[in-house]
Amino acid sequence: MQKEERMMSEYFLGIDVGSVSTDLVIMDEKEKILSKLYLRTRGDPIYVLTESMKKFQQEFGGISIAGVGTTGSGRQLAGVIVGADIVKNEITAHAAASRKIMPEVRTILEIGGQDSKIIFLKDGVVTDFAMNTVCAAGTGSFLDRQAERLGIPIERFGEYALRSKNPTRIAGRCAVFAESDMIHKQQMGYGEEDIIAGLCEALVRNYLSNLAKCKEIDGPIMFQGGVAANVGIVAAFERMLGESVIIPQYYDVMGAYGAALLARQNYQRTGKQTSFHGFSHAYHTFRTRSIECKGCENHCEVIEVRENDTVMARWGDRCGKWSGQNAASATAVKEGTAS
Amino acid sequence: MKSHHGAEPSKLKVIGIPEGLMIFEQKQLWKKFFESLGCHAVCSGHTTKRIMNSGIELCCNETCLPVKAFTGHAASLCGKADCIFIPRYSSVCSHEKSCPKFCGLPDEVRISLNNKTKFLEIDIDFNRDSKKTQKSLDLLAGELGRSPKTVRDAFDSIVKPGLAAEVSPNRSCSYEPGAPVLAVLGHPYMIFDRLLSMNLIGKLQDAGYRVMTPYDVRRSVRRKNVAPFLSDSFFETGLDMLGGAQALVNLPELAGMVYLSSFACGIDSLVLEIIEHKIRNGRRIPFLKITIDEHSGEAGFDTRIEAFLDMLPNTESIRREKIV
Repeated sequence: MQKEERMMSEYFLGIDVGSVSTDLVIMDEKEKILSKLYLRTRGDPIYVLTESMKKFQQEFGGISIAGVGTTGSGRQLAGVIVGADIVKNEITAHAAASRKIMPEVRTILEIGGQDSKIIFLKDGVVTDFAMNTVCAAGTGSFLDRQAERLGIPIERFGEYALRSKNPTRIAGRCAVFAESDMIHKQQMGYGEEDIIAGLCEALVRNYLSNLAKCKEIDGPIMFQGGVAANVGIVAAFERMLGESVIIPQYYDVMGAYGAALLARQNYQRTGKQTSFHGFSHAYHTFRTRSIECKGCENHCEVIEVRENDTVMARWGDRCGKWSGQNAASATAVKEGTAS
Repeated sequence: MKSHHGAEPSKLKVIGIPEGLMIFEQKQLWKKFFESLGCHAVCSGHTTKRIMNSGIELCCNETCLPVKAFTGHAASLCGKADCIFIPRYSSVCSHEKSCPKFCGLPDEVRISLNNKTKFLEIDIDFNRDSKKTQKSLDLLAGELGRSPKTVRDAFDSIVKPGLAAEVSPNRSCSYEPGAPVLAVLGHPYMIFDRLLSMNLIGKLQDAGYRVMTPYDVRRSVRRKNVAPFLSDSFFETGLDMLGGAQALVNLPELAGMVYLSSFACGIDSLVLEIIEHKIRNGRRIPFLKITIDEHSGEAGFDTRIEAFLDMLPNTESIRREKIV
């Protein structure tokens, strides 16, 4: 696309700050992805976010952003830092993205850093869904940790699994048990490939028995989220479901894409001018700190976000004593759409 | 034993009532009971993070969150009362059993608190042996320095009718058609406790829904509705939930069901599956189960609720504001 053309159109920015990765997408008016970024969060969402904004600034500094959406477990923080128009949970964002890519999709398998969910659709309408309960066993962050422990880059985890001829049985019910099972099997002398393949199977078995119990899984089946990059998990799903599993082209940034789509929807519905601070805003200094409120016996941990030396937002309190002040600040972003 | 009359003060003046588990819903009954016997009753108040933390520290690791909260409530009363009252709820009516954790509660708390204070208990067992109840009331009478008859009478007139009441004392049984309904299922001491439930009901109401619980259904209706699933004795809270869910699932306004369960709850593990796979499936009511344990972060909890509400069909328009 030529630079002039870019200057003419309006674009939407979608940001997904997850526990494992931070993804950004710039989408045009026709809902096509112009550019995407996928970076490891590595426990420092502010750094990763501002660095990626700087990258976009260099490449797309001049384009006009008409709306910004944030999602993921760090959506609130990201929303405050960039000035988001819509802040949405990652499940809704993912569903929006898959429906856009494949309107006829019937089942969405999604494994992210800390969430796993299954969504059932019929004619583009969600008919049922299930999410993992608060336990994060069998999600991306667990795989990540195991890869690190075995000294294998997570990107190559899947290849190892595919090389296995005889997957080892690993207990997948609980991440803690799975880990001790794996260590035990390693000590017994099982091959790395077999252990990794066994782990992939255990995760899929656990996923299906937790989320898909007694439910009909109809095709087309789409598999997304960071874990979809793992060919070992994909193979295990296909084997157990007896059906092929579709990995969308942008499987790793579906959350960010969904957030951009929701930002566009929001823009079309409300026609409101974006609260986006601009890419160059990333050069400001952002700091967070947590304060223990001693106002009552609940001792809430309040998170405070500061830009340079100004407090931008606070949250984490039960009573609203701190978060209530956000409304007064012009930069505060409330969860959900501004209505 | 000598008979005492009205104004005579008891030996134990201040009775501490921990507001958790079964007492969460029935503290008024017990308060009235002790006050009628000339005692002063102090309740532990709402669950706070401090109560929760001390309960987690004191309890054995394996038990459920509400038991830990209860122990924290009991601990918070040490020093504020002459003794702590913990009823042993074995069974509140015939053919029904309470959760086994209630049956052992006085012992559990006594051990967790290392006998730091004096404890009072009443054994409530109307299924097998109401003589046990009478005996424990007589013992209590001795401790309080009251006549056995006074205590028995107070129990029969104040407490007994409330234990298996048609209408839960703190909940209404009114039903007017109107706004979309979300059924919140779970033990009363979970779903109505603001801290343990992370204000689930408040959050759903803020999102514009009318919240109904099994305790908005009359007890006799709850029991009648259990029939297709179980014919005989079962755990009481399980019956409330099964029967309540079966009654609520027929509401035309029902938009979804949320089951709030605590990790390691044996009753929930069974009842939840029956509700998810049998009861709600006829109408394919959207169903969300949330299991909570010692999490203090509400972010993951709120994500699930928000995603659930987003997926409910055609209710977007009624939602006043979104959950933060």
